[in-house]
Formats: sequence, structure tokens, C-alpha cells
Amino acid sequence: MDALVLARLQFAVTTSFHFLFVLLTLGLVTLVAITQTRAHRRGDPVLWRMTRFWGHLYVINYAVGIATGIVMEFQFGLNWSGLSAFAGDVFGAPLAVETLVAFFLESTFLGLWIFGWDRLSPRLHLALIWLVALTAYASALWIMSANAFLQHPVGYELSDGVLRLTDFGALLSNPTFGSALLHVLTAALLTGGVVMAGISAWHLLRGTAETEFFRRSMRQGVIAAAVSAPFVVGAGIAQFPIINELQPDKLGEDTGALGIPLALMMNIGVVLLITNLVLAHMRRRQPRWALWLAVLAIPWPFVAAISGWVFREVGRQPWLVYGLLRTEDAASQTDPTMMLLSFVAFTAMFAALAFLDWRLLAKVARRGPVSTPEFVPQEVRAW
Amino acid sequence: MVTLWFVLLGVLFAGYFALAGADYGTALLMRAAPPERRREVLAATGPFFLGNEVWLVAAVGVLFGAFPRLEGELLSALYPVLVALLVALIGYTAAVQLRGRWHAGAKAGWDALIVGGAGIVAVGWGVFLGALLNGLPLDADGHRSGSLFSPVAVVSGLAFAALVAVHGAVFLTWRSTVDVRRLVPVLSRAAAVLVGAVVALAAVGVTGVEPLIAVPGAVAVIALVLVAPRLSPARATLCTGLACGLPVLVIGAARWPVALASTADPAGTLTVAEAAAGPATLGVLVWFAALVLPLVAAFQGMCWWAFRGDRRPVFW
Repeated sequence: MDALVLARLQFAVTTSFHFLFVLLTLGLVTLVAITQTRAHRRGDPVLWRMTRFWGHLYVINYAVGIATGIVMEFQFGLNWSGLSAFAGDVFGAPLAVETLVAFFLESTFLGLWIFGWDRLSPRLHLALIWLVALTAYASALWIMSANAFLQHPVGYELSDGVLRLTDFGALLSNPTFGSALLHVLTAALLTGGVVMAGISAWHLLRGTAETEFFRRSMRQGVIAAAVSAPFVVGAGIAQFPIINELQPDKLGEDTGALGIPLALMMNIGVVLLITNLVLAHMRRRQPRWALWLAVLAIPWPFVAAISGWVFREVGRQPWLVYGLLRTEDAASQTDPTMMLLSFVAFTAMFAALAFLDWRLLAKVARRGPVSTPEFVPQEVRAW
Repeated sequence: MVTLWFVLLGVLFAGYFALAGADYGTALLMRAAPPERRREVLAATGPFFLGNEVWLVAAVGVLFGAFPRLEGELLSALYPVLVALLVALIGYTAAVQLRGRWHAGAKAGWDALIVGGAGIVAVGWGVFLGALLNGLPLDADGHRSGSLFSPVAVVSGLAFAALVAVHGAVFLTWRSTVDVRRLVPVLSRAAAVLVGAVVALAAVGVTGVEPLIAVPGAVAVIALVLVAPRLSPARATLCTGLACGLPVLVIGAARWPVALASTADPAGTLTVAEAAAGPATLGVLVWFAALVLPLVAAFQGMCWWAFRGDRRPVFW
């Protein structure tokens, strides 16, 4: 295989794995922040335990996934040095802002939140989780504006064969940015809600002791999913006229295989919307079939999200920067053997990482909230 | 403006090496602790771990945003080193998170991944620094045309690993009850000798480096690691942290105004000015940097303050 195909495959694999982590992180952090706020206001012990339990799952997913973000960032320079040389001035700006404003601050706040339970004032500790959530959203905002630039370049001029930034604000008023951002953010919240409801439903089906805990968790997850799902679908549909106008090839007659991920995403979106609206209406007791429905829903938002990205990114081809830079012209001149080696190594690492992450999440989720006191243990437990 | 950004880039990398150097250094020495105490080694850097590692993300973000051409050429020229480094970094970070949460029988495997991963990361960054000091065989288009390994780069890899190991040893002495004090003098002498060897090799074989900056810089690094064993653990950590952070600043300053030197075709040499993004990009980014960097400094400072005397917190 030639280096270009490998570089593209590597990018697809890296982004997909990265996004699996990001999607759940973004969704759960919002729900954890909301739960902690409610706990803070009401002083309800169940809500406090909910904050810790779901917070634990969130932190595991964040901490295991952080490495995929680092590889993601390096990959532009490693495999696509033509992109930085040609469009780095414009494309690099939102990316740099993302790492500074969002990622840098987010990890700093999160480190304090994880370890700060007993030693920061409750108010500061609550503020920290909201700061984590805000910076995570800011992260999504800047990444999506960088991606929107690749879809529909704006705010630049071409001089001496490279792009120069002329209008930073244009990156944020890009028509391929706003609705796509809303789509991604609400999809993350939907995912967080579906996962929270699904895990809770599993415990309710098993009849574990924590009925009160998981009934309330399920309610919260279902409501989050039901509220966000219409926005996910709406913001998705809102992108069609924009795509028709700016990237007519994407939805043209001969898109062929691209129709599959698109249809998959749309069908999953609609099914999840209906499911969660139905579940949200069952106020008191959910019948067993409804609980099963919630459990079985867990993997689907992830499938839909990856399908959505495949549609958006593959549909941009053959362009890397739409209309300006072809993908084949942006690839680094790397030895194909080396490229194959790195592709295999990264893919294996990511697959192992995702497997371990989900195994661990499943383990902690199965154990239920009893595990949460160890979140901040009283002494070093040497084992 | 370009100079300001180059300094900022250097500071972010130096911050990463000094802070995350403690993560990697303590991890390297994990096997020096008896098996039942190894969790304490991870706990020592615990509350700071995410904050430390993310300096790398910020540094590479600035490299991409403010010096896109340097980013593309440097990263693709160092491809094999960076791939090995990143794979090791993924393994290491994941193992740190998972070690305490997996079944007890797998501990030895996680430990091997932590020590091995941290080792490759430390040597990898040393080779990276060595390549910056030595220059790379680039053609006129900025593509690498020969081997990236030079004697300077190889010895620099070992020297940086030794620096990181000393840093880890004094950090553990400060922040944990794991006793690695006996290792400090040996490691500090080894680091000093290896840094000296890099300087000697560079003096013979490398051109284009300003000796009035490089030599005092190297002397400062050597002095910092040699003085560390005589100081209190907290001060010693400060010294070894500086010793880990200084090399990138010294190399950047001694190579100025060149960002990436070519040892093959002189036309492949990339100056800082050529590497930088246009004034509009830098002008926009400076506002964000001015907003964020004080906040990061304040909150990371708060983190160190909040956990200053505490050796207990264990999450990993």
C-alpha cells in the first residue's frame, strides 16, 4: 500500500478512536456538573454519591483517552506536513487556541477537581467541575471551527503559495461551523444520557440494592437524552442546505458508499430520539422491556457519531482544504514501510486502549456506587 | 512578535520537561521500590499528573499555530523517534491509570509498561533535543535526506534520560516515603558526565551553535544536578527540574536565529522568522495566550499549594 493511503487510514483510525473517548467525556462532564450542582443546592446524600460514581466513570474515560488526543495533535506534523506548510497560518490558529484555552486549562481544572474533594471549599470544587465542562465545550468549539475551515475555507488570502490569516472572526461565522458544533455538542450530551440511563437500567434489571440511586440516575440520563435528541436531529438536518450549497459533490448523485454512514447515522438518531421520548414519559416505574431498551441503546450513539464523521470527512475528498489543497499534496514524504509500521503500532495501541477503557468502565459500572468511597481514600492502600 | 512566540514556545517545552520529567523520572525508578510500595511512586505525582502532561499539548499547539512550517518539517523529519515516543507515551499513561484498577495479578505487566514506556519517552525527548542541537540532514525542500541519528543525538538521548531519572529520584525523596536516596548521587554524577559528553561531541562536530550561550548553559545544567544531592529534597527538586527544563531553552537560544539547522543542504536550514506564522495569526494568538497562561500558572500553582505537604492522595 502506498504511504498516502496509509496516512489517510491512520488519520481515520486515530480520529475515530479519539472521538469515541471525547464523545463520552463531553456528555458525562455535563451530567456530572449538573448532578454536583443539584447535590450542592439540596445537600441530598444520594445526589452526592451520584456525583462521585458518575464522576469516577467520567475521570477514567478522560484519563485513559488523553493519550489519543496527544497523538491526534502530533499527527498533523508527522503525516501531513504539507497542511502545516500551506494552511498552518489559518488552520493552526484555532488549533493552537484549542490547546491553550481548552485542553491546557481543562486538565489543570480537572486535576484539582479529582483530588480536591476533601481539601477545597465545596463552592470552589463545584466551580471547578463547571470550569472543566466549559473548557471542554470550548475545546469542541475551536476544533470544530478548525474542521469547518477544512470544509469551507474562509478568512484567508493566498500569498506566495501559502494561506495567510486575514479575518479570524470569519472562522467562527463559517456556515459549516455553527450547526455542526451544535450537532456535536448535543450528540455528546445524548451519548452521556444514553450511557447513564443504560447503566442504571442494567442495575435496575439486576435488582441490585441501589434502587433509589439508579432510578434517579436513570431519570436524569433519560431526560438529558430526550432533551438533547431533538437538537441533534435538528442541527443535523440544518446542515443539508449548507452542504448542498458549499459542497455539492457530497450529496450528489454518485456519492455511492457515502450514503451508508449517512443513513446509519440518521436512522440511529431518529430511533434514539423516539426511544428516549418514550422513556422520559414513563415517570414512575419502567417495565422490564423499557429497561432493556435503555441497556441495548448504549452502543448506538457511538456508531452514529463515527458514521457522521465518516460522512463529513470522506465527503470532503479529494480535498484536504476544500477547493484549495488536495489530500495527496499534503502528505509528508514518509517511507511507506515506516508509515505501515506506525499505522499498525498506533492502531494496536488505540484498540487496546479502547478495550481496556470499556472493560474498566464496565467493571466500575457493574460494581455500582459502593466503589466510590475509594475515590478519595483515607490512606495509601498498598496493593 | 516572532521572538516573543519563540520564547513562549521554549517556555512551554521547558515547563513540560521540568514538570512531566518528574512523572517519567519517578516512573523509571518504580522498580527500585518494593512491589507493595510501588503505588506510592505513582501517588507522588498523582495530583499533578494531568497538569504536567498537558504542557506538551500546549507546546505542540503553539508549535502548530505559531510555527507551522517548523512543526511540519521537524515532526516529519523525526518520524521514527516520535512514533516510538508516542506509542510509549500512550502505553505509559494508560498503564498509570489502569495499574491500580485492574486485577492484582497483572501488576508486573503494568509495571513493565510504566518503566519501559517512561524510559522510551525520556530517551526519545533526549534524541529530539539532540537533533535540534546537532541539526538534521535536510534537503532544500525541508525533507530529511539522511539518518536522523547523530552521535550528539544518541548521547543526548541517554543524557536526558539520566537528567529525568535524577529529577525523579529527588522528587520521590521529597514527595514519598519510598527510599531512593542512595540512587541520587550515582544518577546525578551519571547525568553530569553524559551532559558533558554531549557538549564535547557538539564542540567537535557541530557548527552554527553560539558557544557563549551553549557552554554556560551546559555548565548550569551540570552544576544544578551536581548540587542537588546536597540540598533539602524540595530545593533539590527545584534544581533538577530546572536542569530538565533548561536544555531546550539553551539549544533554542544558542541556535538563534535558526530554528532547525540542516547538516546537508544549507538551503534546508529553517530560520525562526521563516518558520513563523504571519503577523495576523500571531497577533490573534497573543490575546489568547495572555488570557490563558496566567490562569494556568495560577491554578497549577494552587494545585501544588493545596497538596504541598500531603503525601497521601491516591487516585491512580
